[in-house]
Amino acid sequence: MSHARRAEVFQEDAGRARWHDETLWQVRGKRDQAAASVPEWEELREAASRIKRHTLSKLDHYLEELETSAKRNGVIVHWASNGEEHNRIVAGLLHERGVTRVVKSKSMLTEECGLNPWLETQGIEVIDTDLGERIVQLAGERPSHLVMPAIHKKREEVDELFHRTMGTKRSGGDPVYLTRAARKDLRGKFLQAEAGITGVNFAVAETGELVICTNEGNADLGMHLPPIHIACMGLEKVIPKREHLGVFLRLLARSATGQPITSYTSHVATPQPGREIHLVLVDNGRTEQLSRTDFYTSLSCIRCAACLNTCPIYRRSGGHSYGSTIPGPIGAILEPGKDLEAHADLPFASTLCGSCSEVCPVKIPIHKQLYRWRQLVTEQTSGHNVEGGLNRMGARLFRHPRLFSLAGRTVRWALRWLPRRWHRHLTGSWGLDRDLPEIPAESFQSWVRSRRRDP
Amino acid sequence: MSRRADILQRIRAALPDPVELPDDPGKFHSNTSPEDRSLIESWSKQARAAGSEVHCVPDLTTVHEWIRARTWTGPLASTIPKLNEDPAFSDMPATTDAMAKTDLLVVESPLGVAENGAVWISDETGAPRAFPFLCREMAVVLPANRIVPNLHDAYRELGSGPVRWGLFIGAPSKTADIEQSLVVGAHGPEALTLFLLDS
Repeated sequence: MSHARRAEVFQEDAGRARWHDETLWQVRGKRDQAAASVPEWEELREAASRIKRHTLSKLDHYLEELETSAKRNGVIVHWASNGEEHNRIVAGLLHERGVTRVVKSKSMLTEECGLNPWLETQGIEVIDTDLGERIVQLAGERPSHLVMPAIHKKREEVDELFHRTMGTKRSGGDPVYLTRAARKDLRGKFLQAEAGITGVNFAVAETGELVICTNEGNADLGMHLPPIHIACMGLEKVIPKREHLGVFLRLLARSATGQPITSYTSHVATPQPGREIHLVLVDNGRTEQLSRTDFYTSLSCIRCAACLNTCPIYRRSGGHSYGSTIPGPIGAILEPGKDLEAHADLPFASTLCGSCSEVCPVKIPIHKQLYRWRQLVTEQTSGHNVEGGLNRMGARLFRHPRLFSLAGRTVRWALRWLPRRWHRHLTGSWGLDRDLPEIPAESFQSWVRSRRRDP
Repeated sequence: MSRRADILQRIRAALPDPVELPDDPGKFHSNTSPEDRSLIESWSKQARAAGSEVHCVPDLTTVHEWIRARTWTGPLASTIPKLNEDPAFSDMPATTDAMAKTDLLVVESPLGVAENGAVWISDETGAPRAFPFLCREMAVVLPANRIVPNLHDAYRELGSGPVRWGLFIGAPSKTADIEQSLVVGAHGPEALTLFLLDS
């Protein structure tokens, strides 16, 4: 199913779709306020963009430095070429230690690698601990947003879901009651967990520290309680120096939710005595994206989701309509890099208005890359070339005047006499709520001819 | 060839054109003097806006009085020697169960950030890493002269020497994952009280 078709399905529940649109627009508003409160905001964006592009241009160097620093700190470093290798490494570590219960905090990378289903086939129970992720896990779904994974769910649905899966009372969707219930349930899981898996927001090459940002504190419990902490990161998450954290952390939460900083910003470098920290560095298509001159800056993304919140298409179609791990404008430039044929519809899920590029804290020219992907989709994939077909048809008509005038007569007749429901699909979704302008009785050519006959 | 060598080789084959680091990393440091009272105002305002309770107190005795004036149902713990003189404070718990049963943890922070209301704690604070997330309530004492204007200044203060574990706390644990309704006390403490020690 294409993005457009799934978006249509999302729009069927008009009330929910409107709520989704308005809620994300509010988040965008909060981001604007937070950005405006920092006078040097634009300079920060420029610095962040520079630091990221610099790091990518010396990525081998910084990863080696990160590895050296992390090892010095007592962290064990693993390298994975793809998602499957990543999953095998994680499962291997858990098997060696006889672990069957794992708590996990938010990580888009493990989503990308399909870690949860993989571990479940290995007999390992994985509990997502971010409330939004827990909701989608219990519902058997996937996150629809990078920062607010369950933004597509209404409170009544969460109420029903928790009632069914955790045996909570029906509360009519009281967020406080439901959050407390999840807290209590997850507290037990934290205390019993034998391993914690987290993502990584920033890994500092200079110091080897891993920086992880949450509002709930779930990543911290997952890091500190179980005897083993496995941190999984894409290669592009490394930054050169600790001082650069100042730049990125000032931008991240403000861009994401409008907060000046997340509730918790954890910097973990060394394991506690008798504990282990493992760091898994994952490529999974990133080196290929790095090699694409037109698209490598997409690897600068810090996953703030500002481009989702501002996007008129994302807001009105929901994250699941993208059918990819990373939704929204950033997903639409990252995912085609992994599989162009499968994600060929994503670069078209945009108005190219450029709002995504304007809000991006690391200044990725998202809309330009979307446009470039469109060109590649048209050149390189099959079945996504309606526009090309129409252009060829137009060219033939314009080359043949008789054919052109015949086509004109036919269309004028058809639009005038055939029932609207027969021809309105010609105008696509545009025509659903609009009528075509009144059809002239004759063509411009014949009008000119008749004027010449009787002046 | 090992995975590592393989990945590094793929990276080297793909490296984009060199880009220099921004030349002046110091340009974002603030000129505000540490004596400037606006830092205290900004820090308190940001912390309150994020959901923390902020009290300006002249000394630790006042902090102690505030604690004694409340009713607690579980044990209290602190890393501050003066508070630990009170027998109401038990020894630093050794097990996670004991940490989870603790009603209040009080620690001292060496660094606050005016632009976002955050406080820094670390292994040097003296509490086990999980404790700030397991206790039911948390309180942090921050000397007023330890507030820096922004995060760049904070990292300069922290330096780039060996790090073990450190944490900026910007707000009490919270979530808005159910229809964007803010709920304080997601996984960590249900309340965060900040004492600004301003003598």
